[in-house]
Amino acid sequence: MNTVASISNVTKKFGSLVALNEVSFDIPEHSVFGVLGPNGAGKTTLFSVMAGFFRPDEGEVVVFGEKNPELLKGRLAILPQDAQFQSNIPIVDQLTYFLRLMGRSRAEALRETVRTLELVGLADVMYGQAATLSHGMYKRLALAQAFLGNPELIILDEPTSGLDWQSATQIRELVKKLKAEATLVVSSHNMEEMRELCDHVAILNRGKLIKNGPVDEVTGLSYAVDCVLSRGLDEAEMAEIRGIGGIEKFEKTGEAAYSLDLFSSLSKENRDLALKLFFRYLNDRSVFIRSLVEKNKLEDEYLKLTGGKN
Amino acid sequence: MERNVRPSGLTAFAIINFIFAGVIGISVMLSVGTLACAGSFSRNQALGPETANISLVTTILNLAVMALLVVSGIGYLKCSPILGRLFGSVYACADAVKTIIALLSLGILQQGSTFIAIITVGNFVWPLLTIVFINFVFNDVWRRRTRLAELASGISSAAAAAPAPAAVPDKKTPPHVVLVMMQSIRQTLRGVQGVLFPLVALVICFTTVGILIAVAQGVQNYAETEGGMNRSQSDRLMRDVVIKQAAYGFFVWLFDDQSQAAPNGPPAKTIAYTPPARDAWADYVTSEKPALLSLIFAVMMTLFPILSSFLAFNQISEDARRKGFRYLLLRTTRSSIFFGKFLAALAIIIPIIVLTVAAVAFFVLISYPFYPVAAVVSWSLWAIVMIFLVSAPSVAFCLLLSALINSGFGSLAAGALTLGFFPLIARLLKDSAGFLVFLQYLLPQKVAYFLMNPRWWVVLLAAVGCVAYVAVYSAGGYFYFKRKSL
Repeated sequence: MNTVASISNVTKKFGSLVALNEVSFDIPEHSVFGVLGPNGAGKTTLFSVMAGFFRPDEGEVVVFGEKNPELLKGRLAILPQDAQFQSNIPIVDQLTYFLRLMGRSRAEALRETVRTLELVGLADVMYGQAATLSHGMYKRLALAQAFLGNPELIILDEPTSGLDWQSATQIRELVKKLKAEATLVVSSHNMEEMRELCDHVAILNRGKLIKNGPVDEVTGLSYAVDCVLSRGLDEAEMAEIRGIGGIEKFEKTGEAAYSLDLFSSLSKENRDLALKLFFRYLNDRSVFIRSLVEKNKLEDEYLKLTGGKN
Repeated sequence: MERNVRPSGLTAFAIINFIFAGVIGISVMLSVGTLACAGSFSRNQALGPETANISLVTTILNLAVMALLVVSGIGYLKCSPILGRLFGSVYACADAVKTIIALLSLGILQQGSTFIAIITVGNFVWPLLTIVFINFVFNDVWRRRTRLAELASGISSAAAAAPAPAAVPDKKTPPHVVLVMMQSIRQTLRGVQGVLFPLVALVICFTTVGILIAVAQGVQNYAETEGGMNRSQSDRLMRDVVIKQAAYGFFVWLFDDQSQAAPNGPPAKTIAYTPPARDAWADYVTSEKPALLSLIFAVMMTLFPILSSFLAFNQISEDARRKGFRYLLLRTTRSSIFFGKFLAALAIIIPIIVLTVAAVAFFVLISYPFYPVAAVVSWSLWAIVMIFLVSAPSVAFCLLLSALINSGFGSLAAGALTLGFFPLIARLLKDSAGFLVFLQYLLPQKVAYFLMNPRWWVVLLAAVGCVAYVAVYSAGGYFYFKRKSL
């Protein structure tokens, strides 16, 4: 597995506040890497250090083999959380200017700017001032600048916060599409979103890295579902289900509602096999599944590790 | 959907237009009153009808200019190409024509009434700025309307639908420092600061110069009316005595402890009467160079560094506060950003210096023809270099403050107060305690006056000194900016 960025023992302090405390992890190529953590965990500081806005007090960040982000020349892009665009310059000219800095000719830069603004649905306000945009539109503009020039690593600091449902869905779809072309590092407080998007995660709490790795690994490869059946099961039936290989726990949570946990050590194939046996058992007894919901183990893990804060 | 496309500089233009229209309105009311009085006087044969006719023409022209100011001001607010750009251009031409008619009708240019003339130069400032800004700085505000229509008709959508072009670096792309400079110039000029700086700088310079010339003009008029001198006699008096002596005294004070023996003068001998020792340097700028110009340029060398702070105070601080550099830092280097912004401020100052010096030289040539044209032109060209060399360190100093302080207002206050008052305080401290003389050299003005020295190597050293100030201030600013959390 190739890594595009390597964070080694990074410590950043603001006075007596330790925002990052010896944080180390690697970001695999073409992954969507989620950075999770409660408010004040150090996510934005970490991104700022990666992008070179802040110098780390200790440790180093190596992106595409470079320690100095200034030398990356557009290979790394970021959606910063609270940065503002220039006043008095039309939006289209600002983005064109960014592309000119990345070596594009004037005509090409303009063409690419229009294409990117179309992508985020802002083409009709391209000649306006950034300051007059609504919060959601401003966020989309910031996203547009992050997508300019086909960067290879894109850092998105809470890309969907403050966006309406429709816009947030569009952004998520965009991130999924970009995964083939670039590596993405994303932070969000929306666990459902993170589970949907990310294949790797790092969990930060109070500046310290608590856990990181592939999502399955972080959640202990465990798999759980909540289901509602057509009727309640008796104790004998429940015991038989518990006896199916691979099932760790099977508990009643309501009148005909049950929670099923599989062993975390199961491979994907064995997990599917265990579920198949479970479904066949129910089918043989004419018990039908009325609803089946996959439990968000990432959220459980996150809440467990961060002490229930989000 | 159409969004607000008006830059804040254009709003400032509209507001200033309304203010000027108000001022003209008041002057028109005064003119009407004067006309009424003139009417009653002419009935009594006290005032000729010619004067009343001139006033009438001026009043009508003023009314037309006032109307154009108001209409174009509304046009600026609405970003209308007709009301804004067209009427703004018409206003600029009309105001310029009005000023020329006023000059010719009053015979000012022929008679050399320089005080009024130099104030009248101020009348050209706003029309000139209007023409330049609405046609070159805000040109896209009017043009973009058409491009929006293009977008609505789907032309841009078609372009957007085309596949993403492959990233091909353009070999002709200018260096980053040039791109940052160009963008920074554009951003500055389109803001309130970009409109106010040239206006304030030009008006303050012309007013100061006007006052200086007015005093000289007053003395000359007094010599002619009360002393019974003719024009050539009064010219000689002004050239050889009044201006030269006044300027000499000023320069002796200005150059202070830097006085020296005449470069080629013989050693002093003990004779019955020893005239007071002359300061060779002050002699040079008052005898070998046009004394009046030397005086004006020395004042401008004092004023421009202070005025520069009004332009350069905000080069970094506001962008840093708003975290705007975060969009640039992954695309260019901190050095390109820092020095690009520095060059942008210098690039804006240069035309203002050239314009001011050219206007001063022009009016001095017209009003005081006893100064040789070649001397005025060559001294003025050198003055452009001198004023630039003394302003550049101020810009670098403001850039240093701007890198240190994350507030535009804080940076402006620190810059203006330091550049405005520190030289004065340093002079006072030095007068009370001689060992504090070094304080005067913390800022470049004291060194920059050596650019007026008769010895070429002193001038060269002074120029190198000014560049050294630029190097020290900008290196300090860059050192901090390089490490600053942005």
